[in-house]
Amino acid sequence: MVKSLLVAVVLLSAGWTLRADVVPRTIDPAARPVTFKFFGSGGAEWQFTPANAASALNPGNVGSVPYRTGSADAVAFFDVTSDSRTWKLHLKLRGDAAEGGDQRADAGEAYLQLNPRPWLDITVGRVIEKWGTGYAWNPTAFISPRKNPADPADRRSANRGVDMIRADLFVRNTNVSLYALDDGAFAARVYRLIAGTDVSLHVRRDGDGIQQGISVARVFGDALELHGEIARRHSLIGGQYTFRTNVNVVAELYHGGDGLDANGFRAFRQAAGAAHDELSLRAANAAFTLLSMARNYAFVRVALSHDKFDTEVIVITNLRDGSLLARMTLTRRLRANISLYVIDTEFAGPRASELSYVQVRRVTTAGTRFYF
Amino acid sequence: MKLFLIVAVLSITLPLRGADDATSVLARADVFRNPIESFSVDVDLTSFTPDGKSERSRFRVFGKGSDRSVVEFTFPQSDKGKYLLMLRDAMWIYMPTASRPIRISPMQRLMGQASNGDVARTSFLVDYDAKSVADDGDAFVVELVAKDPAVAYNRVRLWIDKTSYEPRRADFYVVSGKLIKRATYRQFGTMAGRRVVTEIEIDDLLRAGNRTVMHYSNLMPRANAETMFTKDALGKW
Repeated sequence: MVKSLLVAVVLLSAGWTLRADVVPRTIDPAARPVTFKFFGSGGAEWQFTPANAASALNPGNVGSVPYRTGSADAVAFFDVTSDSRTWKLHLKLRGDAAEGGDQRADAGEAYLQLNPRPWLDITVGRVIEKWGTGYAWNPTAFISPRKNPADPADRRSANRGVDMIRADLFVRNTNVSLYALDDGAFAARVYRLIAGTDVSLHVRRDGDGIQQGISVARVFGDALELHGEIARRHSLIGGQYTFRTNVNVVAELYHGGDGLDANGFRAFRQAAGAAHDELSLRAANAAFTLLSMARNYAFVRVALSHDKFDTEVIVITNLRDGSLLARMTLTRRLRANISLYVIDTEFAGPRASELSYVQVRRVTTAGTRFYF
Repeated sequence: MKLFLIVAVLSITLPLRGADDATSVLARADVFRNPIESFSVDVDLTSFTPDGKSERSRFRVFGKGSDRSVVEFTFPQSDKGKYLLMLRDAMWIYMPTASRPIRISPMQRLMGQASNGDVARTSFLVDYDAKSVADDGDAFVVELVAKDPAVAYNRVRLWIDKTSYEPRRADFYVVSGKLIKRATYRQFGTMAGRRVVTEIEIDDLLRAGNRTVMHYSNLMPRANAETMFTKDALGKW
């Protein structure tokens, strides 16, 4: 594990060194022409994944799911901004190493941002662009990395951006963003705060046609936030409430039109039940995508910070068959920059329900993270 | 001339009562919290619990006018890269992992007993009407009522020194009428050539013994661009 962490740090440092020699490292805050920021985190974790031999997708653990795996990663954010705000260079570098030898280094983001006019920003490079107001799902995220509802905050900063040219126009309290993407697609987003409500219109045009959507969010009183998104075949409605005891609750209902309907899931169950050779098992496993085997899901997240402990419980329920995924995270902050955490994810549901097909019984993760 | 002098002296010495007087008293007290049109200031926040434990956070606040501010999180390391935007009573937070601004409510806390608004809000005049003013020894007591019922604290009672007009204490009430938070303006000093509040203590009256101390430093004029205070620019600069 230590070796994996070292490899991740070295991979990350390699990327960092390449950049460090071309960027002025001005330290004196009073005299500097640029502002320099460098921060990030590194972590190591172990995952325990007992096989679910009762799953029709992994009978008798035919897939040889390993009981224990380990990995390490490091991510660094690096910003250089001119104090006149005429330009900014941003890098997000990530190194990742898994037990068994897989190693990877990547620039999740790397872009240059220019401000030729007070009302205009031009950005060129790789950018993580996230659209929408939903917490667990974003039906309007036409150009965003795919979100994992069980890990919506991307705790290991694994998201990777899209290569693009972006123009942000700030005109009369309305923000218009125009995008030319590397795959030949074009996109646009218009945002305005209307009577205290965030309203965004989203559109993407590519070879498959045009996608359009709208997202809204509004705060009521001092503790309640409501939000919603709608796009063709996808919609979400949700809210967030913070109690005076600092307990934060998020609840959402999601409809995904590309999920399986009852007939589609019945067909999947029949195929999985009849799969006994390697080929048919592979096909059944390929047809199974967690949290996409139905069209309607509910999401609840309860979070509480107390003293040096952060607790988070996420429950996602398939509204057709009632099966659910429950994930509990307990984080202990040892110091301002070091934390330990345990995450336990359980899958529960009646026989032949969506979550009963998961190839492991549970996922238990123990890890540590260091921030710099 | 004699009559004018009498009126002038009376207007200075007689107790203030009306809403206009209350507003003018509040405006004079607000200057100690928000003295510069466009500025940056560092905030060091320490949160104490009854068992003697404490935690620290640091922020840099960029403000424009009395109703727009951006809070940059600078400590602890795990919070670096986060930004909070506050436009009047609307708030968004940007986290580098989320890569987008998220709408949040004032109740969500940065740390300890200090709410987002406690750190980001630099003026009472924006959100409150001064309804009346009364005397309490050597202090004025100004009754503030929220202009918008959506504001976190429906009513505030603000004690202001009669001589210097420095704010001394503020009691915050929720809609039910319950007193839940008390801010004590503990220290004043000179920054950017102006006398300003340099330390505020916030006591959580619902949980006795929990308190937060906010210390201000490095206040300076700064030409903050208009676009800096837009949701879509949050975290981008």
